[in-house]
Amino acid sequence: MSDLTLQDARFRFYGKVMALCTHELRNHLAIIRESAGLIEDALEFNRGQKLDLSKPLQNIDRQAVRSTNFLKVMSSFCHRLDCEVSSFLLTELLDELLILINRYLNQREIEVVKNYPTKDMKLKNNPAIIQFVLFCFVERLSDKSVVELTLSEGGQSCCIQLKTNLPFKDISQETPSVTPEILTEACRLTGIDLDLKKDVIELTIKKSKEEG
Amino acid sequence: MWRKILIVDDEREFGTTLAERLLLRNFDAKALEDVEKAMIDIRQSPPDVVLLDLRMPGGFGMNTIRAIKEISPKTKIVVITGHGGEQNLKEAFEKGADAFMMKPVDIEELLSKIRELQ
Repeated sequence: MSDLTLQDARFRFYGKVMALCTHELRNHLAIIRESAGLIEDALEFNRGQKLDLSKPLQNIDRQAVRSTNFLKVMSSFCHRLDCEVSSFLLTELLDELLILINRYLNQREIEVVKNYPTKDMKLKNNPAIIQFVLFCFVERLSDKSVVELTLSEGGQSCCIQLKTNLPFKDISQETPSVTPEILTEACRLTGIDLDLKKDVIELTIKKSKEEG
Repeated sequence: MWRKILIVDDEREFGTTLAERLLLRNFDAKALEDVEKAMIDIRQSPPDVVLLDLRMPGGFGMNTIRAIKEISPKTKIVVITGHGGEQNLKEAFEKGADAFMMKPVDIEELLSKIRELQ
């Protein structure tokens, strides 16, 4: 495990997120397929009877919209890798990840309570690594956690705070692919100052890389 | 031919639509979104076949497979999931699943799989 690099860990992160995305899209497609099949069945089996095709048609439409919205977020997530450093809005960046991993959070019955400031924070940094670091801590949340995600802005920095009602799980046992060294390296590259406590994690991102 | 089919899936539209399609084919089919409700239902009236989603809130499908088999050993379990992966497949069979299908499913393939299990 000690031979793993930040790059290895990030590949695994993208693999996990893409697996979650395919899972999500397969569900949308499954509903579309069954709804289309039901329309076909209704025509075949219910000939002569009154057919109500509005429900499956609405299902198809709803799932198409659901997929379109999901793909928009997925595309934005993928394009975070286009440039090493880019400008982004912090809430958008975090929401993007939360949408993509929503199924994972639901499965583990983790509830995220967002506490965002009214004014968004624009940063110039490596958004892909920030998402990676955040996901590392999401993975360490205990099942059935309620986690408060708070964003705040200081003079020279902004802070992402994850406060959970249940203790974070042991780093080495639960996610052996992300060693403390890898996290340290990810934080070094993004200028994140990490403060780890039993039930609170604070990621302070220096504003020195903020866009003027 | 088995007739009583229970679909357990948290994607409500998927479960109810598939159930409707099975009803049109003269199966006694119904869909439930909640694992706990499904377990009560299985205990009260064991189905011939459970079509089970693998990953659901409130009870991962993997543990549910074993729990269903304990309550109703004769019930066949067809795992239907959007979550692929060799590891999942292997684990599902180890826990007692009888068949595995990836979403989206073809209903004729599903029925053929059910016939094979009989």
